Amino acid sequence: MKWNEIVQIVLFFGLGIALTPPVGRFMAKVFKGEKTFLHPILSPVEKLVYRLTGVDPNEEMTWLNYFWAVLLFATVGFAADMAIFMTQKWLPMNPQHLDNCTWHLAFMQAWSFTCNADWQSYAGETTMSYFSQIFAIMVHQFLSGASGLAVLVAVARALSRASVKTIGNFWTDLTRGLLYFVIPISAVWSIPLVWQGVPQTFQPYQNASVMEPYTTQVQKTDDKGNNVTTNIQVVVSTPKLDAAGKPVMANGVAVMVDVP
Amino acid sequence: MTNVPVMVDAKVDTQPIPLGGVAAFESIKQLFTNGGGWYNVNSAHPFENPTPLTNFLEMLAIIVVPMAQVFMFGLLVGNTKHAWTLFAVMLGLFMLSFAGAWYFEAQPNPVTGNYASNMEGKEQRIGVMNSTLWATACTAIDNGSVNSMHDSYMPLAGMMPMWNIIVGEMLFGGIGCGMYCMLFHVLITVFIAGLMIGRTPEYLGKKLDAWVATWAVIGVLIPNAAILLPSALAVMVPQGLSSLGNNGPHGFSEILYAFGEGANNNGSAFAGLNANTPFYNISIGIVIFIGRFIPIIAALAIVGRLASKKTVEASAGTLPTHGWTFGLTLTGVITVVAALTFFPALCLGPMVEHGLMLLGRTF
Repeated sequence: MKWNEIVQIVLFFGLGIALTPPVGRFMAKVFKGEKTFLHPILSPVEKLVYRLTGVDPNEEMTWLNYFWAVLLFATVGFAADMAIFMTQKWLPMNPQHLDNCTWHLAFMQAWSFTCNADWQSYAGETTMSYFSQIFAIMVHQFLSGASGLAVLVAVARALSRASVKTIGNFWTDLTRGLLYFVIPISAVWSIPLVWQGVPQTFQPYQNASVMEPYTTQVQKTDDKGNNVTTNIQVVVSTPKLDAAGKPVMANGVAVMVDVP
Repeated sequence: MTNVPVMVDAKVDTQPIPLGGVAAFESIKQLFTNGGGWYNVNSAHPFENPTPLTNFLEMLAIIVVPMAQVFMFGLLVGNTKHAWTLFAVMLGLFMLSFAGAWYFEAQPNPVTGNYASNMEGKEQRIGVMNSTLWATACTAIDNGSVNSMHDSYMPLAGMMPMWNIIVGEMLFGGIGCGMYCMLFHVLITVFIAGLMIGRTPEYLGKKLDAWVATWAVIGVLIPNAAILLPSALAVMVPQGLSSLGNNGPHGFSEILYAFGEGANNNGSAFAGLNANTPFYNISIGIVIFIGRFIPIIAALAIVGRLASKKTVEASAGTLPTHGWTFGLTLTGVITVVAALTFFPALCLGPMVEHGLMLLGRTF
């Protein structure tokens, strides 16, 4: 245990606990529909979203309708994601010319990202194009987080009510969460990361010169790109067997014979 | 005679450097418990995590919103005392798992006989403490991004992230889901405590009935079944076993971890398992779906029922849902439910592996 490790642990838990009341209070304000410091800029956007989608923000849903809305939202996202993963070869923003995903990988990844799991059974840099990473994966990192938060808000709101059948409107909770909380806080948090040198670019992969060039062995190919192979003699040692199929022993050690 | 490839020398003087919109990806995935990474090794990669400051900021981003959601829940239901009690239970269990993982990981490896802590699968620049803190934070909080490879941890240290996952991803847990999964355990605790001391089961001024208890149990047990049954299937069929990177108990840990993180929507990987096969892609995809939507429907069904009921005033017969007594009972219920469900599986995985490691056998 070094002193700097203790400092880091204390800072980690300390800052987490210290940030809980202000962040929690801000979230509660947003979901109650109260005015925050972001409202002067963002409330026209919120109204525009409702007008474009035809959502009445004050319409209330029963618990079952709320569930269908959550499920419908995820299923539409799933279908869109699966389509993007399976056609990324023909879509723009693919400077590395990465191939389409297999159907089973696309199925798995589409559920994984729309359900906030984000388990990846592939290597990001060699499988997904920039288009897939941004429009299929990153979009759902916002949407799945916000829809989980919306469900919790509906749960809390319902627990504070009495003698009513409705628990709120999923589309309103989703829009408010995204607009006033999820998008602003992630935008702010990415700035120090860019400052510290995390890449943020649409350039294709760069070829860097290696400081110490080295020689490695690769498989030889002919003019058509096929691998060249050759036949060689391989000799393997195996235990010598007697007529009954048991190894022949000498001084407690199996006798070995060479087999070509 | 055997057919072998012909090899020729090739000079390497350039190397492709993968780039992209990494910084934006990083902040959203860390803050909203998504996890994964732009690069395969997530935050062990020097572009995703270039400096000690980014390591700290990314780690802090894991806990900020999940911690705040507990307080938000308290404000919205109008009972912040209850919220702080839940907060303390979650924080306590999370810290315990971190202490355990750090302790076991800092021990010298008895097999290789070196006297340093276990550095396999870790970045030199990140070190043991920051690796284990990240590993337990990203599993307690359903985040699932990594900065070290959990597969390479000592058996019992690797069990700590696994324990965080199978306990149900609610030691703060994912955005939203951590808190409503905790709600199931709270309701079960209220029921059990009420039965033990003969008080009416009431939660936040509402009387609880059979409908609520049934859905709470569904919300806890179905995701657990979605871990254990597919794991059992995977160790029986050749499609499941052919993906394994290691044999024996370690291979079993890899399978259990894969389905555990799927059912609890975590998304970190124990690695070692090649999951990009039709069998694992389809089964884990289905498990993720069950693990996401069964708790959502259970939580909404419970609160839909409670919202339609009349509020009753707290009386002398009401069990308070804040304070030490309730917190400790809740901790007991969480631990007992997870332990009863997963103890046999954990015995077959990390615990057996630890015992065999002390005898000098590794996998």
